[in-house]
Amino acid sequence: MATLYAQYSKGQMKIQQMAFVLVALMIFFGMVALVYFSFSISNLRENAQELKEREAVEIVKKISYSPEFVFTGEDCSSCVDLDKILMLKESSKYEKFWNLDYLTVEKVSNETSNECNRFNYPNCNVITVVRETSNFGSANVAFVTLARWDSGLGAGGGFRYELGKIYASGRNLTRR
Amino acid sequence: MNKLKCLKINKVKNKKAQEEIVGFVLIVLVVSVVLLVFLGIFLRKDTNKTGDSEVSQFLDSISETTTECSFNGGYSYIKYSELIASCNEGKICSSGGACDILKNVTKNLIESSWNFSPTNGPKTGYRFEAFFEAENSDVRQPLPISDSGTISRLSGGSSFVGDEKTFPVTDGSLTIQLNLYLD
Repeated sequence: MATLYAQYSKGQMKIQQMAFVLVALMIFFGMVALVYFSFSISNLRENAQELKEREAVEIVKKISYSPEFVFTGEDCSSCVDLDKILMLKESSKYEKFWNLDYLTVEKVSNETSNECNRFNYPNCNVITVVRETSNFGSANVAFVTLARWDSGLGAGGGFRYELGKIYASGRNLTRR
Repeated sequence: MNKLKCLKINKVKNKKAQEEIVGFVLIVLVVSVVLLVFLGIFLRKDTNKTGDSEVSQFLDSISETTTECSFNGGYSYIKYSELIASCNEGKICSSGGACDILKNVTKNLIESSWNFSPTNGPKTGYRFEAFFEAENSDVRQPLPISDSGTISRLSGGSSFVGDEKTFPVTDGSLTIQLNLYLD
């Protein structure tokens, strides 16, 4: 009788052991799955953020293709007309036109920021077209080629192309 | 008789212990394989990205810019894309060698466009390369813009974003490539 009791107890122990191992394995695989899903979700968030940023940059780029900005003097696909933009800055009609809080065109250079007006143009590097508020957050940026007439370029003058940036910020744009 | 019984009991015990060890080894193997697979997946993940829209816009925009290189004594000035072709042909502008001007212009434009900081900035450095690829050839010949064939400012950065732009020329194509290193 005592022998039978001992055998039954060993079997129980074996089943218990197996159950513990199975539970431990389940917990392990569960943890691995948790780590995997947390990585995948963080990747998804990163991708979504990247897409939003790209979309915002594309919107800024779209502004540079608008008739008010685009350069038509010579064949240049990514050029904006700096002379036109200076005129836009002076026109109050365009303040609400793009529904933006901030729209600036900047010439890329090592010089300190110098706002353009009729008197210092083209010896300046920033044209602020719209500035509705000082608290516009972080603006979205797109690189463009700035084209302007330079009477001192070559013989009889010519179009000078320079590297520039367009900064735009507003409720319609996704902020970075 | 007792000895025989003892031997039999030992044999049964050894067999059981062997089974336990085999089970344990199997579990360890399964767990190790799963861990290895996950490690492989995470380590293989490439953090470098080519085709970046910001760099692509930059390369598109600089290719249209006017440079200080003139071949007719200042009557007209060539564009950046033409300067790359002139450097490849080994031409000399009024104000110096086309490759020297290309190097200076590129360095100025890149360093004025982004703030590179080895410690504080999101961008730590850059590497610019220009190649010539002959027609029906896969060999990329670097343009002589420097001794190493590159313009760079490298100070760490584990990953990068970048893009390249290709200009067709009569006997092949010219490619400019820019990689920005991130913190």
